[in-house]
Amino acid sequence: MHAASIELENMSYRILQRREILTLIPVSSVTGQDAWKPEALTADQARLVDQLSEIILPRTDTPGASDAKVYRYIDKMLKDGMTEAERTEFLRGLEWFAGGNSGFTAALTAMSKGERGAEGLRFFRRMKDLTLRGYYTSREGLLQELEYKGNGVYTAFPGCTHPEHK
Amino acid sequence: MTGHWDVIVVGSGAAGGMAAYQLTKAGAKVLLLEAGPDKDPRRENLRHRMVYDLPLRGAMSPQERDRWRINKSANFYNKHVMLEDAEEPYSTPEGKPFTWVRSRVVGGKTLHWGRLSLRFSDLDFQAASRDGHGVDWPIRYRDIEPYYAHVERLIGVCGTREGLPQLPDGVYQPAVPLRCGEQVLRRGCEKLGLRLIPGRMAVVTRKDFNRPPCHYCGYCNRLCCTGAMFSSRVSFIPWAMKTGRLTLRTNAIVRAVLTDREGFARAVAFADRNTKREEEARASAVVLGASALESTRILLNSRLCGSSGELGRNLTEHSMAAKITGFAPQLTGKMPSYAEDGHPGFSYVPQFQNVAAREREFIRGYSFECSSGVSEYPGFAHGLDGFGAAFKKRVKQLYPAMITMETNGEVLTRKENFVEIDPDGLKDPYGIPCLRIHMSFGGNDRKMIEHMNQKAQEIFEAAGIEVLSREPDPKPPGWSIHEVGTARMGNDPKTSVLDRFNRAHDVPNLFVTDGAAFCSATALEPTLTIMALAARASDHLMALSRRRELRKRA
Repeated sequence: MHAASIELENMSYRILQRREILTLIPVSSVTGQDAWKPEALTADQARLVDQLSEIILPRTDTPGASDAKVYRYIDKMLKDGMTEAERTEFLRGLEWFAGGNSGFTAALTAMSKGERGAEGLRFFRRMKDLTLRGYYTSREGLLQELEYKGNGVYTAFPGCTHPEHK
Repeated sequence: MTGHWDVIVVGSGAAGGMAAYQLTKAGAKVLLLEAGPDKDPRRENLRHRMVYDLPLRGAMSPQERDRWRINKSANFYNKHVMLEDAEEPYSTPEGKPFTWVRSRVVGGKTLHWGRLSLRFSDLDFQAASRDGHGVDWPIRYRDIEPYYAHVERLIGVCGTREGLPQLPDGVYQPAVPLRCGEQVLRRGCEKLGLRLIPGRMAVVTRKDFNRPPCHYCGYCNRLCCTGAMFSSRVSFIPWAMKTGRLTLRTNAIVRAVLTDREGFARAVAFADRNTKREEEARASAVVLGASALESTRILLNSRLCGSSGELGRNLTEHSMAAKITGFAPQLTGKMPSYAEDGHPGFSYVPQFQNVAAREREFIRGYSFECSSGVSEYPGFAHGLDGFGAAFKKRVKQLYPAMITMETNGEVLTRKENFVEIDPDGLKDPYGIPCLRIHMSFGGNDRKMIEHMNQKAQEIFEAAGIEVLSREPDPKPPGWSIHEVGTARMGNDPKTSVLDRFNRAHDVPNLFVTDGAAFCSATALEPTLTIMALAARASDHLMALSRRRELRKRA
């Protein structure tokens, strides 16, 4: 079980020290069980992106962003899915974040409320959007978390069969 | 091109495809000119591949986004049948954008259309007599009814018979039942005295039809892999081919209709999309079905049909506004046991304004398109505050409970809304002069949009749906892809471009069978009426031809 996700379960805003959170979040997928290498991010940035995405969508009784390798999606989007301006802005935001924040959860919370200025809010939104996009389009997010049943072949469309809705 | 045809049809979508089929079946030798290539949607599609297996998870790259910036309907799944912005430029006046969505491919926009197939009624055809705006159509419901039935039998429309005066019933296959959220919405509508009915979609639900039935994989506008959804490419074009009387020429971009010394159409001049060379093809009659604005562009570039002064005028469409999204509390956390987003369309709240009682604030009306439940991607999550485990749980809870409504409102014809050949000489890569499109919403349109917003809120409240987001303002003009008018029909050659059979007053052997012929937008989706008029015009053309009256002036 992820300690960080327990931390976020009740949206507690306890400020964690960076060292503390680094020990809380497993980063095995980034540190390299396989040969994946980031193409737009540095290894450190990929690790940070992984940690932030996992705070945004943590593992609960279903997989989290880290399980779904959302950082790889974000790296791919940075390389092929964004304009130069979008990429630069995201990377600048990431650097800004890495430089000035000791507690990621608290920082994200403050940023989401606009307490870290426009740049903070913008980076939070961008990071959150990318995390959602990456997670809910992943096999883990779509099938395990959302239990999506679509894009199949069916002989009939039953529609609503609940008398209480009619 | 060498040869001589009975009829040249320009455009292979709803209008041109219908005409090509109707004419060849009746015995005419037809040359069909399509500006784009042929792509069979049953083969060239990405259905049944999961989003996580697609590059960029089904998003377009920035380079692709640039290529289809104006053509906002283009997405990763259908971009290969969408016209790229740069291939066919057009201009708009400063500060008045117009979104012109076009497909240049065999079948045209029917490859990705919305599928709603609704009959107009005399409330529409005689609207001007009731409220004094614009002109009545030169036809009545009884004139077009047999053709509505004819088209419905050919294309396969699923739906229910409801007995509504503003939405005449047709020939239907079994309807696709409403989803849970739509049932909740329907109850809300009924509290306000409104009807919510299953959408009447051109999707086959019967097993014994001329195309395979729907298998409910969803997202028809990403192209239909079985052909259950009607497209001209899957139905009309192969049927016309089968007669042995159709010649299909793809990548033929028509510039003008050429006339003889007596003023009758004798040939069509077109540019080959690959060689960019101009060619000519000759025929005894010409049918334009290239889409409302393209057909009018061809007429303007041909310097034909201008005697009434109405060519290019009376441009109209639907306003899309008041989009509202929310969730039904009783549905949160209740995942259905089947694929809810496999539904091939929408449910529908027919126009209820100015039907029985007159509205004080505005004339004409609008309708709501509704859908509900699971959709592949939980887009609503981007609008929810927060993050973390509680956020994730909320997304999951709301995923099956979402309900959304959007409108199609009749935009009135006004003298300010028209098209002309670009006065600054803008030309496309083939040297063909381009359009300048003038389109904006007027006072009645804006009052109607206010009403839509109020009503959307009332319906959601009555249904007990909690609002998550609203987009009250209208999308830019053109967004509905229901642009019609600019060569309207009418009995008087002084005030109309076409006669009551879509035949040009000025050029008796020239017909325009697409949305250009419309006298008003109505609150209804135009495609079924385009096809019915195209079939009717084709029968009329054949009758004239048999009587040797194609070149006879009225």
